Amino acid sequence: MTLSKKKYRYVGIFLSDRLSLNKSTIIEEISGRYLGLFGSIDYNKAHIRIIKINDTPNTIVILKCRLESLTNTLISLSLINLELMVVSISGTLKQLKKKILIFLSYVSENQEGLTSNFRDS
Amino acid sequence: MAKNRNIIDLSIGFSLTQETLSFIKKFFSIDVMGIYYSSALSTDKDSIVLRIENTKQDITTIKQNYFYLYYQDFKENLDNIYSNTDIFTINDFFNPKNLLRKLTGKNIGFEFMVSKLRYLSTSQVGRWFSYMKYFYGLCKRYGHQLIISSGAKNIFELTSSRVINSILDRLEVSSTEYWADLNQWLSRKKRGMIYDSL
Repeated sequence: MTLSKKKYRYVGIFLSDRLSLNKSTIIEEISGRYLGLFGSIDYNKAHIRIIKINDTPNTIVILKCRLESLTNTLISLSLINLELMVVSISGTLKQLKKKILIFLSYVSENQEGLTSNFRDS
Repeated sequence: MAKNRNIIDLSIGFSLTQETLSFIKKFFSIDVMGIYYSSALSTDKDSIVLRIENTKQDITTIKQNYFYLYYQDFKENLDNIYSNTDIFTINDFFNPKNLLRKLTGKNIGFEFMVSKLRYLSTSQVGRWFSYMKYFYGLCKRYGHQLIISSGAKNIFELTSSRVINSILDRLEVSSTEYWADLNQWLSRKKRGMIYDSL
């Protein structure tokens, strides 16, 4: 039997200010939705984890999951009632961090036009 | 994805500043956005489709400058269907076969909002997926267009092209085919367009 290396994807998620104060609910909600929609066998294969990185701001969460389960993970993420948005997806943490930085700098540069939308919610 | 194919979200229910529009294009990869009449209008007219409720067809002031579509919320009562509705927004499960057959040839868009699923129980979401598969088959058979929109009431409810493609994947619908069909459907709806079957 040949053992192939398991591939993962990192998903960068931006949270609303309100949600960033209560991050523990995220994994609970995603797990609940994933389990309900795709079952526990699939959920355990997906190997969904939150990655803790010191230098990321409080409004960013990084999720790790198996490549084969990315579709199901994205569906679960988009079908939970939490104020979050998927910012970027990458195969390496280095690339993901780069994309997150681009996102954050874009948001801060265009803060004036964007804040009303972020606040309205 | 071919460059000449736009990613389309026909229902965004909050006001768009020019900055927000650029933000959505950049981070959600959405090229064309459907907004409601009451929303603040952006200057980027190529990226905007105006949604006008079918009962308010007399609004002409803004209509002239934008590509617009008439929509109505679908209620299971055939008497209330307006003749020139472009989009029916579906909020509940119903038996669609007779209706879609009756409307054959009208090339109507049947729209489902992803944001509504956030509030449904898991079993209802599962039912939605199997219902959508059936609905898509009927749309294909009777010449209508299935539309998956975000239905976002705020920026956090937006769905990126990646998420819509994931949903299509679960529905066993080819995303390439879906986007090509939707682009074609939208271009056919442009009023005043001259059709040539050749």
